[in-house]
Amino acid sequence: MSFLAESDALHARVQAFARAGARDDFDELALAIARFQCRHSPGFARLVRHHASALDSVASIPAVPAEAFRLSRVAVHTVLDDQVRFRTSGTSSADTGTHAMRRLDTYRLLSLEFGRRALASSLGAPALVLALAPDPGTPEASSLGCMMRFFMHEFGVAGEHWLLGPAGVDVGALEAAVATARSEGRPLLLLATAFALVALLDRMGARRLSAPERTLVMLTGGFKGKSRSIEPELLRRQVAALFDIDPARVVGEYGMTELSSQLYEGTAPGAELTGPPGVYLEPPWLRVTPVDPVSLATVPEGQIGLARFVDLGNIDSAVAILTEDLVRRVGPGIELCGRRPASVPRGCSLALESLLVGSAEG
Amino acid sequence: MQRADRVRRFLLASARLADPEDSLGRAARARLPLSTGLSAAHVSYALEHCLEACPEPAELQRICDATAEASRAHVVLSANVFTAPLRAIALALASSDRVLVRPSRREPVMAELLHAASEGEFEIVSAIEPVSGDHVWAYGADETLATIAAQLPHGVTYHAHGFGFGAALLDSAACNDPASAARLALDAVLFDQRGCLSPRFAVVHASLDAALAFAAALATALDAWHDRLPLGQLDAAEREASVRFRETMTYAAECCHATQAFTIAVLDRPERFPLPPVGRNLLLLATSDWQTPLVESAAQLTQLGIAGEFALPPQLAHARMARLGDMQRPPFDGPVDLRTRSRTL
Repeated sequence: MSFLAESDALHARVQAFARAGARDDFDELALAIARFQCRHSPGFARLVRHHASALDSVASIPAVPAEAFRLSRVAVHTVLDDQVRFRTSGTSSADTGTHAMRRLDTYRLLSLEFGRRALASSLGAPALVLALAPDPGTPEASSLGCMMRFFMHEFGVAGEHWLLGPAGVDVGALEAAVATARSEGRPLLLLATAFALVALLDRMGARRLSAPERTLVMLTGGFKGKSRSIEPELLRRQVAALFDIDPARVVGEYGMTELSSQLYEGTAPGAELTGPPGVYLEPPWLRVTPVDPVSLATVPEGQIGLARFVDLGNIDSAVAILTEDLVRRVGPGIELCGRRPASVPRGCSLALESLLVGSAEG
Repeated sequence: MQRADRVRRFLLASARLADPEDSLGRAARARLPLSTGLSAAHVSYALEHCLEACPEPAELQRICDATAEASRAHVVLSANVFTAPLRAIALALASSDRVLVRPSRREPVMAELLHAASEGEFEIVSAIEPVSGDHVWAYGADETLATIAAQLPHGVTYHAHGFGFGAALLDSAACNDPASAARLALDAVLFDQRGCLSPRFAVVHASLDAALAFAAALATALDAWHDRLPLGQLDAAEREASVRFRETMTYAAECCHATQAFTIAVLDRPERFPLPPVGRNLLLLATSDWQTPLVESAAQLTQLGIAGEFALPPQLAHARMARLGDMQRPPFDGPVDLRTRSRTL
């Protein structure tokens, strides 16, 4: 079987798995993808050799650190076969990386399948889908923007609505959209990053928006220094108050450019996906394991570890990814516990010692 | 007493620590491995090879002439390089006959040993309380230095010594010389890369093949040094960062030599590169454009170890220059970090 045929066959298996009709097994599929990547990715093959992995269990698949996307191409195919190149965010251009995808249809299917279960199944009717995000252009450089576009076309009516531009949040357009949705009796689905919602709250001040029934807000991402930061639960309450909706209708989403799949809180009333607030649920084609940052072994149940993702959607990049996010398994999902503390810059550095003038010894 | 005499007396007294037969030398070898986390062999080697020797009288006079006099000099020490307090205190003694030293909490032993060796040439304090006209010499993280600055009273002169690191620059001839690899390995091994003089990356102005061969020679040399001077204890964050660097480089680099003690990786003409974590981790950048990575790092580059002939750009003028193998033995000619910023508040 040729390289492309092998890749296409894996895409077909993953898509069938995601449609939930297939009898495929997660472990077998993950290992098939890992072996495929080992044959076609020299970097991954080096990791496999370094760990002397037989690739005989999901736990034996070495995870590619997310930083690798910033330093090298993480793909089994050549640039000529890229259908899309998603750029990772960073604090500077030097920090950004690329997740190249040979096929966008698998990313689309996975996004829509779990988005439907977590969000759209709660809406009850086609919604007016708005994004507090800039238009990602075409082809999309932002995986989040691309997913938002999928949601607008699949879950929404009346085209695309991008309400964040160089001048900030377009509050007028948002207010008009809310009024339109109310008059048409449609639910609203607002897709937003945390920093965009903070910007919206700042712009709105004491003003309120009376959102239609069954309105949902999908809240994703952190702040990355782009705005003042707010504790997640406080942000959820403030956003719910702004739209006059139940806080359960502000649904957390977790995703990253290096992945093809997303996790959601299962709080949206009436949605297929159900779970407690603060707990992010994986789709069946994604598995998150907290691992020890030194041994890289799975930590005991209930302990915090680095998030190791096995994402069946990453067929042509890296099926296992090691992030710097800290997570803990809680019941059916994971709890986000922040980022791994940055290593203290050393080199005539005092590290974390307290030596303030006049301070007492601790 | 003349300032130069004061400094000379201190340096000569401190030389006792290098002597394994001296009672203070024995105490240093017994106590410093515990406070520094370095192996006993490493501590002993550093005491014998990296402590500042006393310069010639004329050189010492030049150092004193270049150091402003103060009624009192306060020193806030860091823990990263245990031999560093010697120079820090000596420079303060060049400034004043009243020197108050706030040791690092993590590594207070060296200051205590120097205090004993010098028979009280300076005072050890738990916190500094400078007043207008005093000088403060502080060594630490940039954030900490800023915090200290914010709390100093008006009229204090502040000498801040912040975050920095070393790098190396090699030409193709040096790449083909195993002795260069052995010397660079020693520079990286000493103090387990915790100092601002330690090389964290090396720019290899040679072909990728030459860089790969040099990486192999460097790995061999690091193995040999590890046998003599085993890697010391790393804290949790350092261990995590080392594992992360190893995993990332195993995937992303052209080649990666990784053991329990070190990671050496080669990047070919990189557009960007991470600063390897402390421990024994080195990144070799194979590139014909040797200036760019150095100039981009210039603000934090404390020292450049050089093997080959290079016309260095002016952006690197503040960095010390050293031969490979001598990066941890800078001449006693002033602050170890020539970027040190001084200002009167």
